[in-house]
Amino acid sequence: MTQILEINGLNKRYGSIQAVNNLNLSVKKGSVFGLLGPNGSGKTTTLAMLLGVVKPQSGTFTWFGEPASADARKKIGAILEQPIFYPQMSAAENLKIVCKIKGVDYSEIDRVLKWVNLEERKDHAFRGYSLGMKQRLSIASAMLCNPEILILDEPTNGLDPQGINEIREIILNIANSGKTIILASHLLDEVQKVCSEFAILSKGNLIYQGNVEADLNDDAYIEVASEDNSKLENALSSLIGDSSIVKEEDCLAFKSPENFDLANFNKTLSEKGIWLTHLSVRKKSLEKRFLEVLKQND
Amino acid sequence: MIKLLNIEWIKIRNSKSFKVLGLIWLIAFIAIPVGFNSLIEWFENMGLEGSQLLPIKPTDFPVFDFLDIWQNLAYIYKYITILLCFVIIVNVSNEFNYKTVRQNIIDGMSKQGFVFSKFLLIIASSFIASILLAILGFIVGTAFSPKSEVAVVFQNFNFVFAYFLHLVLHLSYCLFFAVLLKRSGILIALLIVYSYIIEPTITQIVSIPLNSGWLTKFFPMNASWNLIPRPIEKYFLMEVQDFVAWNDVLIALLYIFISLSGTYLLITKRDIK
Repeated sequence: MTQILEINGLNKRYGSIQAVNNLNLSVKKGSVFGLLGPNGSGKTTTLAMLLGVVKPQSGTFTWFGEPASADARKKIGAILEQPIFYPQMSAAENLKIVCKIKGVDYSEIDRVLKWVNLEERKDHAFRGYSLGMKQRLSIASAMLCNPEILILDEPTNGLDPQGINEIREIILNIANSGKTIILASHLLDEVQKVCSEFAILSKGNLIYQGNVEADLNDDAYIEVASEDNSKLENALSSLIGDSSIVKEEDCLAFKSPENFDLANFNKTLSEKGIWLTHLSVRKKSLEKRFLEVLKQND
Repeated sequence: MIKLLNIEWIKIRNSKSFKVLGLIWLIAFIAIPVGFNSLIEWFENMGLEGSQLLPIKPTDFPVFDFLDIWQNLAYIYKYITILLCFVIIVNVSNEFNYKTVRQNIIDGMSKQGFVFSKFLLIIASSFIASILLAILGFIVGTAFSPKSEVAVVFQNFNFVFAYFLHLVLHLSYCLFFAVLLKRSGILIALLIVYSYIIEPTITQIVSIPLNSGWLTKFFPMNASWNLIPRPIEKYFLMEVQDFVAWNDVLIALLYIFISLSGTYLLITKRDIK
């Protein structure tokens, strides 16, 4: 499988703070990779090193299998922290500069602006844009060179729910087109919705790396409830054993055994005269997983 | 190279400070020779009206005659160089204030490319100013000078090159300090205080006991000013340096090299935040 990014032993220290500590990571071509971590965990510093603006103390990384260079960055679309443009210049003029740097034809400008719905405002100064428009423009700018990989750092930071939804739609769109995306965020819900793989950073250390689907499916829970929950609990303990049953407010939950047959389970209960009023499969949220992992590492 | 120049052109054509300062500079640039001539005419008329206190005729001050015109114009124009300095200071410090330098690099510009593009901006603006000096010199000189033989016209034309070097050096200082301090307001204040108060004062203090200019020639602002020595005393029958001195050129080139190397080191060694 082709690795688009490979990081070997990356280190960065700011004074007494080890911002990134001996980081090893690789990102496969075509994956949507979530980089998680609390604020100050080293996500942005890592990306800043990968994008050539911060110098690593030690360690190396390769883009597209080649050592890092300005030319490699031309094939990457990236936004770090907040949208950055020349405030007094219009969207179109700002994108012209990006075109010149990346060696892209000016005709691409209209295409990307149309795509993020900024066409009508393209001759207005960037200064006057709303935060949502600024974020959209920066995604347009990142997509200008039709990049093989897109790096987004907190792309929904500070947006209202509608803005968050717009950006999420755009990201899903890009992901579905088969591009590789690295998404740094502390909004776990966001990562769970769009990412296929994820890594968790804490205090500069990589503490977990996994696959969203597999990790969260492994930990599926089944929730059940009936008119009489104590009767249900008795039935359950004889069916699957006492230990795994968790009593919750108005239902019972238990860890799903492998290849669990829900229909058969329901039938068995009804034969015992227990009629379920609630039955659902609950995947563990990324948030729970994240908090667990952070706790284990504390 | 053309690409980098193109990028700088997009940046600067959208800059309000460039338009305002550039326009003031251009007006001053044209107004100086025109205005000076009107001033002499005014003095002359005063004389004709019977006052013998100011018996001045334009022919007494052949400032716009060929041979003299290049040094005189270049010398006067040194005083409006500060407007171009402001343009470069604002341009470069804004790249840091807006963090656009960071985005330029993320987008795929190399750090070296960034320094080079700013140097190209300096070279291009100095070149255009020098071309304007040459054109204006020819027009004004042809209009006022009794002599028009080619040899005379081009004698002392090397003051145009000296003017170019003076601009490149001055603007390179601005580039270096803008990258170092990243603050345009403070830097503009420092530039004015240093060029017009601190360095002239130290120059005076040092040159009296040492009784020679060899040391003060190496002061940064002097290194730039000295390329075009003051011609005024000539018209009061005193000896002046009416040529571009090679050692001044070498000192200027040295300082351009130092400023650019410093800028390069600052950009490549520091994290761009």
